Order: sequence, then structure tokens, then C-alpha cells
Amino acid sequence: MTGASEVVTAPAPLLRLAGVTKSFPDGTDAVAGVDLVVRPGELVAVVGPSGCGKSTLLHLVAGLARPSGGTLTRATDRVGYVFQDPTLLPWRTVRRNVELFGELADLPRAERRRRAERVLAAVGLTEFADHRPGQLSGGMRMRAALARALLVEPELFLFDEPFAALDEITRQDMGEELLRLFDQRGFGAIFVTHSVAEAVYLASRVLVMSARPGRVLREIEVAVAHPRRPEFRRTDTFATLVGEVSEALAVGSAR
Amino acid sequence: MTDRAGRRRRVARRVLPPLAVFLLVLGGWTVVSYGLLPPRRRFLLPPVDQVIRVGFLDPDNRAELLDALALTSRVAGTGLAVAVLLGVGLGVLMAQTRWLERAIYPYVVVVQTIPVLALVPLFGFWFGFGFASRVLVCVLLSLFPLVANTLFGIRSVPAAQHQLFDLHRASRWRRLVKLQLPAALPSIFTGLRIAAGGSVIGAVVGDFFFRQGQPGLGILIDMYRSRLAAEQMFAAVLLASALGIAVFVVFGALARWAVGRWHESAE
Repeated sequence: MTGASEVVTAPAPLLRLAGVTKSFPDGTDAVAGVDLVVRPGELVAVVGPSGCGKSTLLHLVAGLARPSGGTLTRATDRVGYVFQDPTLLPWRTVRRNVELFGELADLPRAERRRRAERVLAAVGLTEFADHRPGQLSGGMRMRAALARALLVEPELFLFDEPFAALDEITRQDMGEELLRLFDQRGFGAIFVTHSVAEAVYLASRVLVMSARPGRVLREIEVAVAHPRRPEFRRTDTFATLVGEVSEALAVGSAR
Repeated sequence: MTDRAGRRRRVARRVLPPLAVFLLVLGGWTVVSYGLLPPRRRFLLPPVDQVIRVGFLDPDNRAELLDALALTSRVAGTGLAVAVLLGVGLGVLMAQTRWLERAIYPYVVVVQTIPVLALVPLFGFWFGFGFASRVLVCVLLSLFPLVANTLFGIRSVPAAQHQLFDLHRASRWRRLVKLQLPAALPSIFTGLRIAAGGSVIGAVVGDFFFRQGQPGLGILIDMYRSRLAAEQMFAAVLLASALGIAVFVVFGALARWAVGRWHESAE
């Protein structure tokens, strides 16, 4: 019909947080009044000073903890969670580690195998499938952790500083890896990080949180469409955004 | 070629030093037996060749020793098996709830601290001086390391690994089977090795109190002592020691086989 009746529909949110607060038993707040919406195909980076409740936020979203106040609505049960430490079970081979969530979700064995092959291939670990975590490098362990999370075919991905322990080169490789998966699969994601550059490079939006109790200080749009290319790191837009986020972060930490 | 030569040299470097000490001990033993002790008092330390000849090469003596060894092994093995079931079971149970741990742990410690061997006559009173009582001694001597190590192993599972299971709301049973038990395995094997030693000690030493029924190694040792059959006594002592060493080696190998692929403690 006419142009006026065209409605631009954003996809329904995967996750909606409204005024979410988490208090500890001692009465202190880890996060206070956080509002956040994540839609499919959105990668939201969260930066903030240490102890600002970034991890708590992810725990709440994943259901590992309950909010003390506010509402949290999650539209999907397919949640992938990648911890800061790869947290692989040392007695299992890479393949069996990757299959773990399939076992816990009672997927039939054949389906588990099939999916494991696929996600191992997706992160380039096929030939290391029968190695044990102790035989892998830090980067490869993180890839295995990523594959494990991919097995549940997540619609919502939660990353808790996943590449913090890696060296800079591996870290950038993993960033590319993550973007590739993101472009292919179009999940929604929350990516907690200490690195402002990483946040800007990966994310559609960057959330800057204050020191404890964590509040959202600013939400900065990264108006550069995915897929991102490494050249993005060398653009003026990138530099400007990194500056903007750093500034907001400095304000948040100073309080 | 060089590879094989290299391996041979490595093996030699590991085997030769303890072998040298062994030969030195045998030499010292022979010197004392033949050189220092007058024949009249040689029973205090009978020469090695005599021990072998009388104790192991004489068919009747050998049969007596081997029968006793079989019985002692069976007692120790049964005791250990019961202790494993009971100890790992208790450890798992205590790891599930704090109040169970608080309720049971003191008594596990009590079992470890009371002189079990002093209770042996009591067991004889209650359960007779047969197989069951002997096994009971072994169980009590090997229980504690199994309970303590199982509990420690399960409690030491990192919180992050638990979170993997929290994410999927895994049941207690799944968590036990897929996380806690495998994670505790190296620790359980450490306990098993200690327990196996305890069980052998229980079987041999407990024997001293069980003078009825078929003789185990302990009874034989005591019997030979009272008869001043020095050669046979030494043969029996050597055999008991060999049993202890064999158990230690076997359980070490078992631990390496089970967890060596992923855990360094097995080394």
C-alpha cells in the first residue's frame, strides 16, 4: 500500500531486563536498576570497572542467580555461556567435552555426535577432537569451550571475558572467529570484556557500567554494520568510538 | 638404534641405583650371617641361601607358605573390596549434605584413631576367629583413607565446573556420575593405594591374634618364631613384604592406567 503504512519491525527481543537489581545477603548491591534489551543479531558489549557486577549480570541472564528486583524476560532456553576460563573437564576428550551439554539435555547419542562434529569443524578443532584439554594450547581450549556452547545451537550467547587470559594475537584471532560465527548464525549476544577496543570492534552496542553497584552509565551505538573486517580497527570511526567509551568508563570508575 | 640405546640407558639409570642398594643389603646380610654370627647364633639372621633353600625350595614348606599367602591375600582383598564400597559410598554420601558429613565424620576419625588391632580379641569374641573377623580388621584399617580422599576429591571440584551443570539444572545423580566421581578419581586412587597397604597390614598383623583355623602368613610367622625355625620365619616375612610391595605396585599401575592420561598426580 502506501509508504506510510510500512512498519519497520525489529525482531522480537531475546532478552529484556527492566530495572534489574541484585543484592547480596550482606545488603550491598552488585547491580542496580539495569535496563537492557538484546535482539537476535545484536552483539552487546558490556564494559565497566572490576567488580561492577558484569559477571553477576550474566549469571542473572543465564539463570544461575535470581534478581532481587526488577523483571528479566528471556525468550529462549537455548543459551550458550562461555566463561572466562575454558572450564573443560580434564578427563574428557575435546569431543566428549563438547558433547557434555548434549548429554545434560538428553539429546540422542547420534544427534550429539553429529552436532559435535559440526561445531568442532566450525571452530577448526576437528583434528584435535580426541585430544584431552591438557594437551591443547590456551587458544585451542577456548575454541573447545566455544564449540561446547555452540552445541546447544544458542539463540542467546553470553560471553564472560572469554579471551581475557589469551595473548593479544590469539585474542584477536578469537575475536575474528567469534564474529564469523556471529555473522553465520545471527544469535544475540552479551559480551563482557575489560578491553574497550575489543568491545567496539565486536559489538553493535557498548554498554558502559559504573563501579559497584553496577548501573548502565551509557549505551554507545557502534553504527558500523556487521560483518566487520580487521581494517575497521584502523578507521577514524573506531578511534572516535574507543575514545568515547574510554571516557565514559573513566567517569564511571572515578565515582 | 640410538633410540633404543637411549631408552636402555634411561632404564638402566632408573634400575641400577636401587639394584645396587639391594645387592649391598644382600651382601651385608651374608657377611653378618656367615662372617659375624657364630653358627650357634646364626638363627638370628639365617643366610639368604638357607632361607631360599629351606623356605621356598622345600616342597612341603613352600606349599605351607603359599597356602598361607593365598589366605592372607584373600582376607586383604576382601577387606579392601568391602572398604572401597563402604568408604567411597560414605564419602559420596557425606559430600552430598553438610549435616551428614558433620554427623558421620567424627566416627570415621574415631575408627582411624582407635588402635584397631587392640580390638581384635573383641571381634573374635563377637564374630568368631574365622574369615569374617579377619576381614573386619582389614576393613577398619583401610576405611579412613578411602572416605577422606573420596570426600576431599568431591569437595575439590571447582565451582566453575559445577556451573556447567547448574546451567542445565543437572540432577544430583548426573552431577555425581559425570562430574564429582570422575573429578575425584585421582584422589580416590590415592586413598586406594594407602588403603591397600592398610589392608595387607591388617591381614598379616591381625593374623597374630587368630591362632585358630587355617593359618595365614601372620600365624605362620608367629609359629615359626616359637619353633625357632628361623629360615622359614624369614621366608614368611619376605613373602609378607613381597605382598605389600606387590599391592603398592599394582595399585600404582592401576591409578596410572585410570587417570594418568589426564592427571599428573598418578606419576
